[in-house]
Amino acid sequence: MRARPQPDPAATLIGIILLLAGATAARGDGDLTELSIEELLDVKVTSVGKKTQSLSDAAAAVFVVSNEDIRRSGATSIPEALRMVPGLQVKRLDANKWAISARGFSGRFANKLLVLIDGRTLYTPSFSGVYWEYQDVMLADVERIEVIRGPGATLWGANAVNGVINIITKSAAETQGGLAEVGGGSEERAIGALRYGGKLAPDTYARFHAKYNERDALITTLGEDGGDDWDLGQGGFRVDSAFASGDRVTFKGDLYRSRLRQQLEVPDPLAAPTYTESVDDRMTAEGWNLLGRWERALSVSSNASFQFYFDHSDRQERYVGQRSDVIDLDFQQRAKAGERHDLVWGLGYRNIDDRFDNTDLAVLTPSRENRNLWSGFLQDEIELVPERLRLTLGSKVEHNDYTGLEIQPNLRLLWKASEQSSLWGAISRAVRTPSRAELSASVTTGVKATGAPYPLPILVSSVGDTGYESESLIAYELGLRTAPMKRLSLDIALFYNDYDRLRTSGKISDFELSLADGYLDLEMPFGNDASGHGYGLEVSADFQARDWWRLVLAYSYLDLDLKASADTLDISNDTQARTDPRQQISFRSLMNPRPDIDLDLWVRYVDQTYPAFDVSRYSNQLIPAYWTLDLRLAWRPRAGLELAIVGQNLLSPSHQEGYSDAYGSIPLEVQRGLYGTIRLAF
Amino acid sequence: MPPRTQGDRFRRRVGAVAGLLLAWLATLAPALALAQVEEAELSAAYLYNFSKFVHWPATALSDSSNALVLCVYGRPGSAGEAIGALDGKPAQGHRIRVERLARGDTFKGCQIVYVSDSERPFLSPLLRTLANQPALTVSDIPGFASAGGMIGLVMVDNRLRFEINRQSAEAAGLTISSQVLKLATRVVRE
Repeated sequence: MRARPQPDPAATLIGIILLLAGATAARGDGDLTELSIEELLDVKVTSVGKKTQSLSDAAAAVFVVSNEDIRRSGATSIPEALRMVPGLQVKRLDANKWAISARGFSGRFANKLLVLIDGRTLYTPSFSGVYWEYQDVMLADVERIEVIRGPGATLWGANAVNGVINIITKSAAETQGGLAEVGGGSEERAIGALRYGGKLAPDTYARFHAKYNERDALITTLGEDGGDDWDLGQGGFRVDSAFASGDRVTFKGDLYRSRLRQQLEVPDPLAAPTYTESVDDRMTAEGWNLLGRWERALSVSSNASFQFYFDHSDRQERYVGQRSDVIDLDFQQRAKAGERHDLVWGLGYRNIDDRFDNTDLAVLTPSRENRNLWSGFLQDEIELVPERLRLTLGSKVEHNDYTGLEIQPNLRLLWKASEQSSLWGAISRAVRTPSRAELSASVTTGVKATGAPYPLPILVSSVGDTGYESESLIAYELGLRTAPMKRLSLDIALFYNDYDRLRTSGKISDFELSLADGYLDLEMPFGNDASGHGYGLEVSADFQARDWWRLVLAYSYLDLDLKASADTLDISNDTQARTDPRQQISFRSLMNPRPDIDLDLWVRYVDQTYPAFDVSRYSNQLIPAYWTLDLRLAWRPRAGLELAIVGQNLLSPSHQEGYSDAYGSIPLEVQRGLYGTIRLAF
Repeated sequence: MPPRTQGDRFRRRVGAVAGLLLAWLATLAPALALAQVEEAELSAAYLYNFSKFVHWPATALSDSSNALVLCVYGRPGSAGEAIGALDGKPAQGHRIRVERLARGDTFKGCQIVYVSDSERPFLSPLLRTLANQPALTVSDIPGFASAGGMIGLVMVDNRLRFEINRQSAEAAGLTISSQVLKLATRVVRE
């Protein structure tokens, strides 16, 4: 093991808290109401710290990443920007794979997080998760990313078990004119993006964008090329229309194509003595989607919206080919009932049509399937004491073709102790419905050489089980949001998650061992024989030290304890329990020494972890804790022009963050990188 | 592995620099002062000024009534606190009284209605309801004045400005002083 002299994370954290606490911001006590209108016209408004108010009122652990946060982080993709969010775990497994989860269970195939872009669920039916590498948007056009940790199932539905990430782009009216960005560097080989927005008619705006990114491979621990370089081309359009009647219509679409490389070691029972075959795999992925939304205010206290989208995706790699078409319809109405009730209800329908190209490693039976999902929800926000105490009660009822009816209720209470502070608590139930693979796939996970007296190697497969049920969670949450000073806001969340019927593989009574040609075939069916709990703490502090200087801290603590029942050979729950860092720190300093200069610093600490599954050669190997630092310097010589230079992961030449969860070859490390960009608005 | 050692040395050096930076920040932080203000406070200051430069018909605000009622409609967020601070301030011989209205409440008795951003989805029917009220409507919802509201606060180059829909004000029987009109970024006349 490498001995790395590292600062103690706890000590650093305390230092940062002391710094924040010690700073007593003097309030500008000049009474603005004394000023005349002429004078008011000249007062400059603090551009930062403006949050979407409805969220700071929410009885949930919400964190918002603003457009400014993204730009000043130097992140060139959504997964990288998410590293600033407390309670999220983000690991880069290889150049084109990320493992992202909230409150644990992270991994390449993490399935307890729901992610949406402008109301469209990013969802891969095979494993109920997200392929992050090609979930891209024009970052400059993102209005905000809302991250809700904890169950959001009542409003959002199944899979919103541990959290919801809601990526919201600006309306076409807010993105008028042109924006071009070009750049490149050592890791970010090529960056190119172009957007243009115009007015089609009075109150009808449109924009289109196209972007391209090419990224370098990571490196092996020996400093060799990881063979996982990739590129992504993406484009889209959006039209927003507001009618005199007050109706608003949005229509948008996206298109992408990505070429990716990955190094695999795939199991082969006939290739003694390693029983693996090395593959330099060149993958392709492409897709497109269309979305339409119509919103109408029915009265002063009631509005309705209807949304439709179609999403097509196609991904081909060595071990499986998958295509899916999703049609989704959604209706929602919000209405005030009486003085104290604010009701929201909705109906949804989704049709999923998938096709798989089976290989020797993954076989889905049937290879093509069409299924339906029906859902409805009702939620009531009750003002128990106006302006002070609010109770939210609601439930989602969902019917899917695999497990039938699922009920996901929640209860939330928000107490606004003062204008500056609110305290909230919640109890909710959420389920994670089975993915396609958990019901109908047979996936080879590895080959075990048995040695004497058994001469034959054993080919181990995880197989789907039609009796597989939903995993369930009951979550208890408590939170405090407060602004002890005008320039400091604090958000603290505590949670205790009680999981049941978690996935296991390999119940002893369900084993099937058969003799194949030259090897033994061991099939381990999925079951729901594990349970466990997780608890944790998430703190975020946002401190506007001066008008030109903002400090943001995020700290997360997580502990997961999972147990599979004694009658299984399952080890995946043990590995899942240790795959997330116990402690994480993100500390950002956003400074404007001059209005035309940004000087930004981002320090991160991530505790030691392990790979999510023990399926490959190195997946039992500890991934050391790491500190890292990003720096960004930007200069705007004139309005509309920005030159930026960004250094990423500066503290060491390279560090490992994760390890592939499927057929991994050797572990790869993220390198120190430097890139520059020029951004021009016209 | 030689590159590692180099990395460690680099890391230690960066650690030391970061430590010094933190120490410097700590000494600096207490001496902070404000040169800029929050949008919410500025909105409130504008509201106070408008209350002094609008003439209401006697049926809506008689000289003998002692309060000028400023209604905050919807969830005002941080603006709520700033507007709340206007309570009790003098305007045109009256005292301002700030009242909070929840979604769906009536506007009877309001001389000024501040529409919170939370009501954006309901703007169209809301303005239809307000059209029958002799109340000055103000909001920072984008496009408020064009949609039929009376005064819309708009952000221009990090400064808060306002647009006026004179037609809406006159239809409700209100007269906005020419002093205010000439300072508006835009006056909507239909």
